[in-house]
Parts: sequence; structure tokens; C-alpha cells
Amino acid sequence: MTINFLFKYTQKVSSRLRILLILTFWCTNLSYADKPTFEIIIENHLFIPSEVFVPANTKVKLIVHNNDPTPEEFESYELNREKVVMGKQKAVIFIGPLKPGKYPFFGEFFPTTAQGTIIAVDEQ
Amino acid sequence: MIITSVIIILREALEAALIISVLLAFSRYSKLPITWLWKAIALGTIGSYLLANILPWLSEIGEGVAQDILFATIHFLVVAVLGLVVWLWSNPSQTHLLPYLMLFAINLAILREGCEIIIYYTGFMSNADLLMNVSVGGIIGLAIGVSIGAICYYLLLSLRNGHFIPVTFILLGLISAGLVSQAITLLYQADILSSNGALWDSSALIRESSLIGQLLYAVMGYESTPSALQVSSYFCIAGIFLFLAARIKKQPDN
Repeated sequence: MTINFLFKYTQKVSSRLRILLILTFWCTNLSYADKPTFEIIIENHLFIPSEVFVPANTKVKLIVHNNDPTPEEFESYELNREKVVMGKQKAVIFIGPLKPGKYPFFGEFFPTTAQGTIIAVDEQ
Repeated sequence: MIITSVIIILREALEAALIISVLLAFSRYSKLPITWLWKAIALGTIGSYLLANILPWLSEIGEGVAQDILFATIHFLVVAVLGLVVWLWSNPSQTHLLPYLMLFAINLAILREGCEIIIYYTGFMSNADLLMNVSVGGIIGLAIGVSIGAICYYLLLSLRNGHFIPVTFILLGLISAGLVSQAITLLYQADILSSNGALWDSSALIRESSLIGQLLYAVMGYESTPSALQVSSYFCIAGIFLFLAARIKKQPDN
């Protein structure tokens, strides 16, 4: 019954709106399924570890813990990411899907020391 | 430390300075009052300070996703207001609204950039020597940013009458399209939107970290590895502004 009703209803929805709906579902990700998670620590204006290996071609969750009292901004031109991490707090940054390769990142507030690289590798 | 602070403040100031200079030139050209500028700067500064103080609390919500959503919303709002400015400009009965809209747009633009600058400085509050250094750097960065904005302003005003409106509208269109593209990145970062990977990689041509890359980023939101959604929405927004510019050009004398 319900399916029949839904079917009839969707037929009424104009084709343009339907395309829009499909696009929206295609773009949004409402299912917060478990994604591979990696943690990075900021301490004395250094990223630990400075090299993070992540799987390529999939979305990855980075958790950046700032153990310093000072704020820092996680930034990467290659990843197109930019996020302030307040002192003694953490920030979550989703990245990817990435092609295999190296993606440098840095702390914008202390760029001379805070440097690191995300390395996306193909998982066989 | 000085160089770092010059770069940080310059990057933030440049984005705001460009929007300010275009809207200021726009006001001058349209013979509108420009007192909105000082109000916008004052309100934007107070707002930045408040936002910088709320941010530690805000970034605890939803694993910090609230921060990304707020900044993306600010970007979308600026674009909506700039769109309204362009839309209402051709309607003489509505021009009295323009100063308020510009005040709002500049206020929001300063809010986002100013908040980051203030957060950066809070890290040095306990160290007087470093604070001195980064303050000098900040003043230099701000001065360079304001100078570039001033150059942009005078260049725009030196345009011949027939060229002013199309050029300004196209500039506002590029700035808006860039802001939308940035907002989409923030939504990717927060996992609200999903990217299908980069559509192309032009980093070999122009690196985002280079001077030209930074300038292009400020003017038109240049990204070397944009997603399909970013590119399509970019052209969509730029196209709307172009359409509005073309519509006005057709009108005889305003």
C-alpha cells in the first residue's frame, strides 16, 4: 500500500525535482557509517606522527588533538582543508577519497615546525 | 615568526579587503553614502571578538562540525547578500536598501577573517616578546592587504563609465563563486557532503601556495584540485552574476 502510494506520489513530482532529489542523495552522506579513523597529536608545535598512512580512494576521518595550550590551524593546500584546533581541544576533519600519493599539511600558526604528510596508499 | 604573522594576516585581510574595495567603489559609482563602511568594520571587529570567544565552546559540539557549518553558512550568507546587491541595483526604488546590504556583507566578511586573526593572537598573549613580533607582522600584513584593496578600488573607479558595472558585477560574481566553493569544502570537511574526488589537478600549472595561487584564491577562490560539485556550482553562481551584468548593460541609461 505505502509503496504503491509512494510510487504514485513520486510520479507526480516533476522530473526536475526528481533529478534534484537524486543529486541531493548522491551528494549527502547521512549514514554516519564507520570510516577509517586516524589520530594526529599536536605537541610543542609538532605533528605526531608527522607521516600518516591512510587508505586511498575512501573517505577518512582525521582526529587532530591539540595538546598545546595555544591554538593551531590544520591546513593543507593539497587536501583543500583548513580548520582551527583550539588549545587543549580536538578537531575532526574528513578527507578523501584520495588518489594514492603524498598530501602535505601544516599548522598555519606555527608552520616552521608543524609540518606533516598524509600518504594515501592503495590497499590490496 | 614575523614572516608567518605577515602571511597569515595578509591572507585573511586580502579576502575582506577585496570585497570591501569592490563594494566601496560600487557605492561611490552609484553615489550612495559610504558611512556603512565604518559601521561594518566596527561591527565586524566586535563580532570577530565575540566569535573567537565562542569558538572553543562551539568546536566541542558535534566533534567540531558546528564550526564548519557556521563558517559555511557565513559564506553562503555573504553570497546571498552580494547577489541581492547586484539584483537591487537595477531597481531604482530599492537603492536605499543597498547601504544596509553592503554593511551586512562586509560585516560577515570581516567576522570570518577577523575571528581567525584573533584566535591566532590569543596564542601569544602570555608571551610579551613574541606578541610584539607577531603584532608588527600583523600590522605589516594588514597594511599590504589594505594597499591591495586601495589599488583595486582606484583601478575600478578609473574604468570608463560603460565598463564599470560589468566589471564590478563580474568581480562580485567571481568572489561569490569562490566563496561557495570554499563553503562546499567546509561541508566536505564536516562530512555533510561527500566528494567524489578531484575533477582535475592544476597544481603543476599554478600551485595554491604560490603568490599567484594565493591572489587567485582571494579573488576567485582558486583551488588546484576542485570537485565536480565545486566546479559546477562555481559556474552556476558566476553565471547568475554574469546574467545580471548582461541584463543591466542592455538598459539605456540608468
